[in-house]
Amino acid sequence: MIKKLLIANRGEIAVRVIRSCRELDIPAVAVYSEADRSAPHVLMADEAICIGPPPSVESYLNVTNILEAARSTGADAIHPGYGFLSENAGFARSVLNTGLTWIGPGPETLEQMGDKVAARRLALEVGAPVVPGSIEPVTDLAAAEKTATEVGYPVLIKAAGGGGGKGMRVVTVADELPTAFERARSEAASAFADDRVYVEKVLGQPHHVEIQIFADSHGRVVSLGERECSIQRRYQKIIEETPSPFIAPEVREQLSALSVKIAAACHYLSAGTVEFLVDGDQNYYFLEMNTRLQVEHPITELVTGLDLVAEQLRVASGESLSFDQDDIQPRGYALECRIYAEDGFESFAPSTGNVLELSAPSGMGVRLDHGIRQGLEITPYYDPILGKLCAWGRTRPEAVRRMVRALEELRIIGVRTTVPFCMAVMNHPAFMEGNYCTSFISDYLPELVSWSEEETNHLGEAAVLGAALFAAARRPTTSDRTDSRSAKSDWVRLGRERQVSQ
Amino acid sequence: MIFLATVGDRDIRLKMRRENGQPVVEIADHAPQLDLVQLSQSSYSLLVDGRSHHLSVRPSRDGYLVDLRRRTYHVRLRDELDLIIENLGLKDATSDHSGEVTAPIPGLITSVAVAVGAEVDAGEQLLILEAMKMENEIAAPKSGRVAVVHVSPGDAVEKGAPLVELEGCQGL
Repeated sequence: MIKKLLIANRGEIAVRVIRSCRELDIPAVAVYSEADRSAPHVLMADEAICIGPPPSVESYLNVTNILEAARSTGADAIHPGYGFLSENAGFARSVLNTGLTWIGPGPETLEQMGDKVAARRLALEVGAPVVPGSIEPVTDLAAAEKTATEVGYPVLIKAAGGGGGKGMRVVTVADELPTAFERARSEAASAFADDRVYVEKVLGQPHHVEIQIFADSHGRVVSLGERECSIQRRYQKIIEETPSPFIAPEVREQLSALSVKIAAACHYLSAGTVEFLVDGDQNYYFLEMNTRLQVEHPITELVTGLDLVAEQLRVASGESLSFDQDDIQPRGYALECRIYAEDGFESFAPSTGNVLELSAPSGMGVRLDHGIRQGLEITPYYDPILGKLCAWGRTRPEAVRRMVRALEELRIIGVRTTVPFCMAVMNHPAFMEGNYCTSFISDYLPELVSWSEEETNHLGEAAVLGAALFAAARRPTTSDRTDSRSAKSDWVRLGRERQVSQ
Repeated sequence: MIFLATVGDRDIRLKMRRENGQPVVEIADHAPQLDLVQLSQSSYSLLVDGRSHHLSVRPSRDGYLVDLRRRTYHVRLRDELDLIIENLGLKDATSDHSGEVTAPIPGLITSVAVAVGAEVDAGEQLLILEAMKMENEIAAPKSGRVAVVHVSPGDAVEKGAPLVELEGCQGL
């Protein structure tokens, strides 16, 4: 078994991995950039090593410094989390060449499935349909225009080297292609150090359904069921659930079977996810394989009772999977809301600042994974994910109600988050009925962000009263007219002082 | 003392006085039973006629930010004198007439496409602001000449920070 694990990541996923280390009694080494010195993953780890300045290219993407941190601490394995270097075959190879254990599939698998063209070819070979689009990555505008014209607009420009909505642009008319192409290439280059993109047709009313698979080094591949991830903004998931309220039982079985075949064909090891688009008629298309632990893995853990990170550490050490296909009997319904530092009511504009207050929900069936703490500064350097709130229920309505309750309990003050927006989604009739596809947010945006009567009237008045009492508590007790200007200026001055000190 | 509280696009008249040192607030001709208890630096428990609200209040540039349930309320409190001054139009027109382009969101400047003296057309790219790995193109709101460039690549900027100043803008 692993003796000491270095986690080459930050935020909530680093915290998540450290938790499994604790339970398995494996010492955990955190790495951090200068901006993250006091972040929770540093506080929780047994050892912590600074790997560079705030920009991720100089720290969390800095292979030399990460390997040096492993060497200096005597770590014998590296968990990459998600994002950053997690799907970087070159990094995986360096880790293995240094004699360390890599938590994840081998470099060859990363290369093959990270190359979306090769991945599509493999999917076709095992009988999985694929979305129409460019066979090879496009390197110039003319090639992109040619493919777009062939498959027909709207098209999606996607980074060949990564996911997560970065380096991704939707183009509805030919005029928009040049700008979108350049932006996507530039974003892909900065996010994945790879500026290749490819062009894919946009399907109508699609669902994003993915299968969690797990493979060990003894040839066993198991499907842990699906996750429906159709609530997305800017092609990034924000709410996921399992089981999917949409797909038919036979589609579920077919997707699982194909995913297991795909994983076996690319000699997969560890946790992985096979993503599909399913259209309104339940036709499905292979999209890509995510060769790492997924952000939304906790909902699978909630319905299966498995610790996927612990399982990753075991299979990386050469152990067999602790379960086989017959053991996977998902129970109940689980939902995840991603907590981003973004204002869901203002076009998901990023928000930075100090976390003035954090109070976590608890109680039955609730799970919160996060990487923040009160007093932590949220900087613009990294992915805006702060955490993930999950809820489990015996039935879907029970899980949804529990999620609403948990979202109400979760208080993050100081930065705007997606908590209020997620609450609006949970309370939307179409979501409650389980009747939604990837256009849900754009379809219902006006009603999702609109103010309820209670919010405008009753709560608006409470807010005014709160502000008035807050102000009154900070001004002199005299209330005659002649004094009010100076008293008022006290309030103003107080406001300024508070701003300066923040 | 009478205040006009503005929350969203709604104006609410408040009468505030003190009785036995305790503030009494009349809202819509009703003086609810109020109790405000501070829980932490920014967080309060407010009982309004027994209805419990857990809120956060922070001073902002021109009022208060109140977080309550799903929303952040921006509350402005203005007394009668404030209103008279505003009605007389004495509020100076500080920033509205300038050609200042400010950061719509906090982020990092990854590139600057213009230099001082450059003539730009409306919609022309001025710079790229990267926030949480998304690149956002900041374009000239109107045609004009670049008078000042406040930022250079690598700078981190707050929301509202001045980026570029344009001059000779028609209508600005």
